[in-house]
Amino acid sequence: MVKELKVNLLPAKTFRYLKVNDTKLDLSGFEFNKPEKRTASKIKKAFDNVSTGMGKDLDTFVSEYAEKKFVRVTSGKERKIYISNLSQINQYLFMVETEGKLTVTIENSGDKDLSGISAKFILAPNSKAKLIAVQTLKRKGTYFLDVGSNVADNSVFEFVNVVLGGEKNYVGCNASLSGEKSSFVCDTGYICKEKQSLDINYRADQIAKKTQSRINVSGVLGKGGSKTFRGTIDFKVGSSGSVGGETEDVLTIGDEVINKSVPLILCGEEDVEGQHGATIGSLSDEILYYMNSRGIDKPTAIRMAAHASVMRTASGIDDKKLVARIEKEIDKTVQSE
Amino acid sequence: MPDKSKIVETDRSLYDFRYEENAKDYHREKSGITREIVENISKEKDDPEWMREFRLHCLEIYNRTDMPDWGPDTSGLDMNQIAAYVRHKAKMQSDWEDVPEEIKNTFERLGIPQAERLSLAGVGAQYDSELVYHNLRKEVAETGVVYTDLESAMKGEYEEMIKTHFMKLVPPTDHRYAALHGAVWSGGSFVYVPKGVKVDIPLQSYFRLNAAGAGQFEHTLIIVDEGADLHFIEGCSAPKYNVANLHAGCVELYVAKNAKLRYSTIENWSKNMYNLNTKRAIVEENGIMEWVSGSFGSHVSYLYPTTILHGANSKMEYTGITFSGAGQDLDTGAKVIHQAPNTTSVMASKSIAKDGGIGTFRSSVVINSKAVNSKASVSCDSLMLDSISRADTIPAMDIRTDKADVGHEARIGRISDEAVYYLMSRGIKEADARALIVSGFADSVSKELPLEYAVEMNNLIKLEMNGNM
Repeated sequence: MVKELKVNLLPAKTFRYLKVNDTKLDLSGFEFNKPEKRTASKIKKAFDNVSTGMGKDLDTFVSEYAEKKFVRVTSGKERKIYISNLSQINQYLFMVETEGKLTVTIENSGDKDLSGISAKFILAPNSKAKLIAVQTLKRKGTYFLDVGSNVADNSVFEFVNVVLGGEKNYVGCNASLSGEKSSFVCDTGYICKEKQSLDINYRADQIAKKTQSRINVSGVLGKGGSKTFRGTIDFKVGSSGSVGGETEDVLTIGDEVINKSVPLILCGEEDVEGQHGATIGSLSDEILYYMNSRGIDKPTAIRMAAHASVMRTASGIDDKKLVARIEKEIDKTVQSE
Repeated sequence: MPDKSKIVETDRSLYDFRYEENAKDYHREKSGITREIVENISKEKDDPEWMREFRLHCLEIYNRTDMPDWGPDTSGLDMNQIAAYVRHKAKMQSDWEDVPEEIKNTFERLGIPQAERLSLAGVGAQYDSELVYHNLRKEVAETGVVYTDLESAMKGEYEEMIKTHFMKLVPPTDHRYAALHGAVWSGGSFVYVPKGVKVDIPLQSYFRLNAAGAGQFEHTLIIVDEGADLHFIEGCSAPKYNVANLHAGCVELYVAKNAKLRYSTIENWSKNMYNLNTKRAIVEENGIMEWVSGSFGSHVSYLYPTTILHGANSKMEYTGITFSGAGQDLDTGAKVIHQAPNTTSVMASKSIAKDGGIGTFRSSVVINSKAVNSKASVSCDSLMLDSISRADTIPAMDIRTDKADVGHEARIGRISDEAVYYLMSRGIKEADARALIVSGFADSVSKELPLEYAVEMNNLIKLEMNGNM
């Protein structure tokens, strides 16, 4: 019987009183059945080497209880996949061969008590994969999205993540940049309010030479919202010439918020450049005054800023209809603030 | 261009020396931490009863408290091999001429009496577990400033004041080494600056741990009363041994309304030292706390000066530099807790890692729901001088109000080849060019120190850099 899983582990632990070294994913109220269909052992073995952001406990659980869907993009081909019909626990395994291109869009909406997704990617040299995950569930229940990728020479893994619904939300993403000149680009936008929580763990393992990573997280915390962001850029020995950066912007628009941020840069290599920047706070009086002088009142100015904060992430999505749906959902969410 | 070459050990003879001592002149408790040892220390120090009970209470907490599961490896520290109390049999003096010869020579060589004559309002010098010298300039004493050893103060007119403040900011339950400190503490200073008194030149305490396989557990308690102003400097060093030494001191600082305290540390323990020190300040309304910290020595360091901004409009600033060389794992940084409205904190840290050293910047900024309109800024720059070293930054923020303004930035990188090339094109040797760039990198810290200490810090940087080319 599954009860609690330890997830989103910080790669380098810190002060215990902050309670950010990991978090608990409580699955004790749910029932799970093992799938009848088994995945070919060759495929399973290949993807066992892909570490995910939420960690081993969850990965083992998903491997046991989720029915796996395997997608291969053959050399030089391009595929676009749209997924919306999700069961309770889902696992997708994507293999992109040399010079292949893959875009996966997962749109998760509706009224669910538990919705869990695991997505793993193996990218061969010179390939590209982009995962777009949009979650607009009703503000109840538990949601998790656990992503992992192994990225070979000259390949790029992109992750665009928008989280607007659910009540207890957990997201993890790990990119192992084991190929020279491989890249990881991650953009996340969220709104959390009224008992909603979001726990994030992103990690770029920069293993090979001249790798690049960029992690951007931008979101809005309304009254009663809670967010924990862990972001790690890990320059391993041998990653010379690599560059990594992470930025976080949090706009607070209500009181009783809990806002935790732990942006790590771990560095075992001399010839690298890593940086992190964060801004956390409400709209400054100067901005509000300026907006007011242009005829925009305070509530409208706050709604505009909140809208812009999340839409920054959504702008990385090519599907215009999906962007329009996200925009509508953002407006609905910030309207009530 | 000359090739880089490595010298494993730099010349540290300025600090790493030891004069001959006669064991008969010293009292040394047996190694380990037991009730018997704690009671012996209490008896040696002629503690008041409340302190004896407090020590035993701390020992109980120590025995049931686990080690933190984060930070550098401390498995090389075996408490059964550490003597918690070592003291010279001579009494504390207020004239250097009366201090035993070998101890006086040690401090002379470290430049302490000279510094006292030139630029200090008062000096405390601790050798192993006890103070051997304490003096305050007459004109400063006449303003009502108290600067004395903690043991004397505890038995005299300041007993109640000490009872009220001692280990109240750092309770023994804080962590395992805070409990250990409470059980075996010895030495350290008590400073009281009365209302409105501004001490123009700094006070300094210097700690020397000369005994092999020993611990130093001094306690510094400073109370800066309303509207008062003080700069306190702390220095420390030790000769290197092949066995582990332990420093688990404790610093408690009380900064009253409208008061200001600057606490500067140049830490240069030997590279067999486990430096598990705890420093904490509480700041009342409009008060200012400033930390200036240079960490150069120790084998392992856990050091995060903490500030509690308790009064509205109170402020803290932390400026620190850490230099990690071969065999060193220095985990340093700062912590701040904003508890009141309109409070401000600024942390600026620099760290340099070379020759396989590990430098970690670790910080914690907590802004609670009452601390509306507070501001916090954290910046951390790390410089890697080779690819066998490590530089990690582990900052954390926990913000519980929507009305706060928090900024954080961190950068990790190497010395730019272009900058070295430019300096070399102006006739500067590569080694000097690199040392110059590192000194410039550390400039924001050295300019916060009095001139003599800035010079000492720059000398330490040069000393470390000499081994790098």
